[in-house]
Amino acid sequence: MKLRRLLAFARKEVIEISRDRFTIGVALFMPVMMLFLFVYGITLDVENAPLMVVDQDKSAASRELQARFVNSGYFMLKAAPQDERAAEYALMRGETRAALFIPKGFARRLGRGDGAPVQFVVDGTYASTAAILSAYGRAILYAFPGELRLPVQPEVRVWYNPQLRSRNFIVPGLFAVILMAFPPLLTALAVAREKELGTIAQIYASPLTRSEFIAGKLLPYAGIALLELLIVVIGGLVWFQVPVRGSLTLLLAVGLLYVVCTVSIGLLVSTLVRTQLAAMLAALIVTLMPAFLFSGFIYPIFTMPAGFEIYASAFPTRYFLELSRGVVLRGAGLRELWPNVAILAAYTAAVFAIAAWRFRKRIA
Amino acid sequence: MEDVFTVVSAPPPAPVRAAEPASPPRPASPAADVIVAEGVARRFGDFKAVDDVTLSVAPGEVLGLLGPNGAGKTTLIRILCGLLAPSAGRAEVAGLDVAAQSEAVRARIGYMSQRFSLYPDLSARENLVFFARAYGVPRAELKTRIAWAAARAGLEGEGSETVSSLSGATRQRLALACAMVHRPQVLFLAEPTSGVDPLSRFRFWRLIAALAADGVGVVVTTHYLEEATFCDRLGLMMDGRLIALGPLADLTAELGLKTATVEDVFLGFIARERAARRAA
Amino acid sequence: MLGRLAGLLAKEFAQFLRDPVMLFIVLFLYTAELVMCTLALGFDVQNLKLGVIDHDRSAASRALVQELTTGGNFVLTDQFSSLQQARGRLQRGALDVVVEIPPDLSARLAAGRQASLGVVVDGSNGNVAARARAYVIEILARFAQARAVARPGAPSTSAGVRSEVRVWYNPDLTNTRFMALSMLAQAGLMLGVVLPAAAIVREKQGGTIEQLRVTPIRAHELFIAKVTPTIIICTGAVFPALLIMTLMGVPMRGDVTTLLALTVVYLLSAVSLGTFVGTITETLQQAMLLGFFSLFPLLFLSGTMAPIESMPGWLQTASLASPQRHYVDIVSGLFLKGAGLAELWPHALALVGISTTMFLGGWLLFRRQW
Repeated sequence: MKLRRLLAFARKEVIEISRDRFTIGVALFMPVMMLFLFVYGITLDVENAPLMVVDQDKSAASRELQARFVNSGYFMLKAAPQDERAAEYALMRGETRAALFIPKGFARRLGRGDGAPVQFVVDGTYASTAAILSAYGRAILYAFPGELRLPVQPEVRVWYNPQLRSRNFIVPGLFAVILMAFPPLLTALAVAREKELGTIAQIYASPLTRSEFIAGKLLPYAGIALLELLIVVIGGLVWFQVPVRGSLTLLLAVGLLYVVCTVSIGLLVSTLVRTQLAAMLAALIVTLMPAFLFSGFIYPIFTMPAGFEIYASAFPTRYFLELSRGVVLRGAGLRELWPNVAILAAYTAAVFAIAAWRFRKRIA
Repeated sequence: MEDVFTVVSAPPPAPVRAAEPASPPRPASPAADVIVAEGVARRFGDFKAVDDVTLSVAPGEVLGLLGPNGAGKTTLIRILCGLLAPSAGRAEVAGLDVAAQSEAVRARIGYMSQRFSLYPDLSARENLVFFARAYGVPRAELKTRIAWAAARAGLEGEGSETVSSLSGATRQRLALACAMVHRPQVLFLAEPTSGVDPLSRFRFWRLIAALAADGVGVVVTTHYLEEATFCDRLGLMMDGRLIALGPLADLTAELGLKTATVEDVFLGFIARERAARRAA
Repeated sequence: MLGRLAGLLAKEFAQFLRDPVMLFIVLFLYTAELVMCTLALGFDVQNLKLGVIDHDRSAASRALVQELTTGGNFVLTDQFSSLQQARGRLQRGALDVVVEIPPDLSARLAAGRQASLGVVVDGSNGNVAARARAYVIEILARFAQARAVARPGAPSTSAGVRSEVRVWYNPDLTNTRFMALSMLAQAGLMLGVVLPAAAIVREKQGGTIEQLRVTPIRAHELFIAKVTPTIIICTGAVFPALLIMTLMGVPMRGDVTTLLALTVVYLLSAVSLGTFVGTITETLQQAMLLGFFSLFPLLFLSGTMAPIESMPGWLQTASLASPQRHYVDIVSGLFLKGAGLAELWPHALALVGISTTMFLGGWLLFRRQW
């Protein structure tokens, strides 16, 4: 491998990229946008869920019950219609998540000790939220007319994320996901573009060797990917103040490895397609979707059926995600996380080798 | 020089008109010019792409536009096609004003771009069908018209492979066929012979000559100076201006030369123009 | 005009069908992807894996553990003697929650004093943590009520409320159905944006757009030709998707006609975004990047990843402008809730309004460039 040739090729790539303001803009802006969207947009805890109360009793007791719900912090009173149908429609439309029906005679039966009937309905569309809301609803109802002061009080310790701040959970995950979103796409598009334009023929005809070609493509896009990583890391840690318990150096170092991995995947994808459109869609299916949906980012892997767990394990995102969360949230170090590093290294080597092999036919 | 040898050594191409279906009847060509441009100009900001061009083209005439890159040939053509509005002056093509009636104009002209804009993923036949329909050829006549256009353009064969697998020369002829399938009165050909081998270029010019003989007015831009001899008249453009217009013989005489190659004429006019500008 | 339009449509369809990758993608998104996401991401919110450390070993503590494990919220996975022992399993995800009962539980309860229960959740999995906490609170409240009622001499007023808590539309609380519907909406949006954008930019890049402009083809004819195939294909793809969803246990309880009609409206908004992208970009790469990544905010605001009401106010308001949001509400209503147009009309109206505006906008911009 001649360093000069490699650098010349990489330099051409860098110039091409820098001329394409649009792509750079997207590459650098999108991680920021996603960071903000995900952190602000996803809260895993349930607060202020819209609640409608149909109070047909209108007694002090019924108002007290209503207050219990609203003051719990889990619910927010959206409306108090008189008509049951109104609440039902609202549930159907998704305008409210829960509805409390207090029939006439509630206070009277409560006073008589008869067990006053009350119906509490939760919209099951979002299973997670529904489970939580119905649990809280039941808890409030069990305790009524007493306060929710339990003889056995739970002391809930949430390890590694004591305030259950969603962002502490999301941001380290985003490190892994964003790097799987753009760099492979950009790289795959770059090679596909050369193929479509025909400039690839010049490369075939040149003395540029396979490894020089691959490395030359890798360098600039890995550079961009690293920039993206830095943007998200700085954004997450500084702006969103996600505390890092472990070694940032370890995170960045393995991040570098991961960056090479994802860019290599992009290269590999590019060997399988002929057009840019196909490259883009293939990248979507092979990198982006698994990264978002099957890596354990939002949806836990452990709940997936066995077959899917295997599928999820076939992508490197999962391993970097675990490492990232481990380092940031749990302060884990190389001693605990070395399997992840080893898997990532092996994965990278394998993908690189396959990509190189696929280029063998045409390039020296 | 090689062109001459290739042409001489090749077997004479089949006469273009043999075995072609009867030409569909066309309305009697008006004797009026098919293109009339007066003082046409086009600016892009401060830059004058076309500067005060006046010319006319008669039916059956082949006008060749020559000039260095950036001289304004393509811009002028695009104005005449109705693709670009002139900043000043007016032009009439096929009797219609290009600025005011550009849509009607389009139905009567054909355009072939330098890139032979064809759909690479469709077959030759499918491209022809598409353009025929786009130009409003009635369904009943599609088949015959396409066969006619293909024959006139010198296309042979089935036409069922995709365009991307065709040779440059075949694509050239296909682009021509697509541009004339609706029997336009005027054909605009922007560098139609670029990237095509000399023999095919020669054949192409014969096709154009045949079209002109049918009464179609043809405007061609080209970089190949020797092709200028195939044109009835030449227009030399430089920096947006028309610095010479007329048959080659007249231009040669205008420079005061007895015999000269096209290149000499070309360079002569450019030199003259430059001198005139320096003096001004 | 019809002749020209017919020619254009024939060309667009031919080009689409010629590209095997595109065909594969479309099919994939509406079938395999649907199945995959539904099966894998339809996670179970019940049956959290519980580890118990019982330092008290009394009748009371056993009753508590019993209470914790009935009802399906928690599944008793293992008993441990100390938190250290359980730690490893918790970290690995073999356990979701660990409960530590202090040695003085029964003593304090008998004395009428408040006892405490240690609950440890792995917070790096946010989903589990929030749920575990809610379940524990519910179960303890239930435990408290049961003990209060059972205590001899308890005043009768402690009968309290006889409550009936129901979860509508999804009683077994799986994410499967919602995931399937969301993926259907997502596929429609993705294709609706990407396909027309690619179709438009390809003409620009290939130079054929200039050729088209020289023909009598009008701007609106080309526009219609660029968007119609996508709308037809994506609407048609709803049928195999419906079939698959039925096979997976997501029953379609609503009116298919309403679904199709509103799907077309939804796709109108998607293709307008697609034409917008195709109009303002010059190369296929730019079109793909812009088109695809503009889908992200819309995905977010649609409530697919997280319920909209959990977002900050300004995002909630913004989501009202997202066609995907309304479409997801509509299909959830149609499929899960047995709702019809009578109930869903606000969403349908919003969708129509948004789609019309976007479509007009897309068209005007396209015409300007033409």
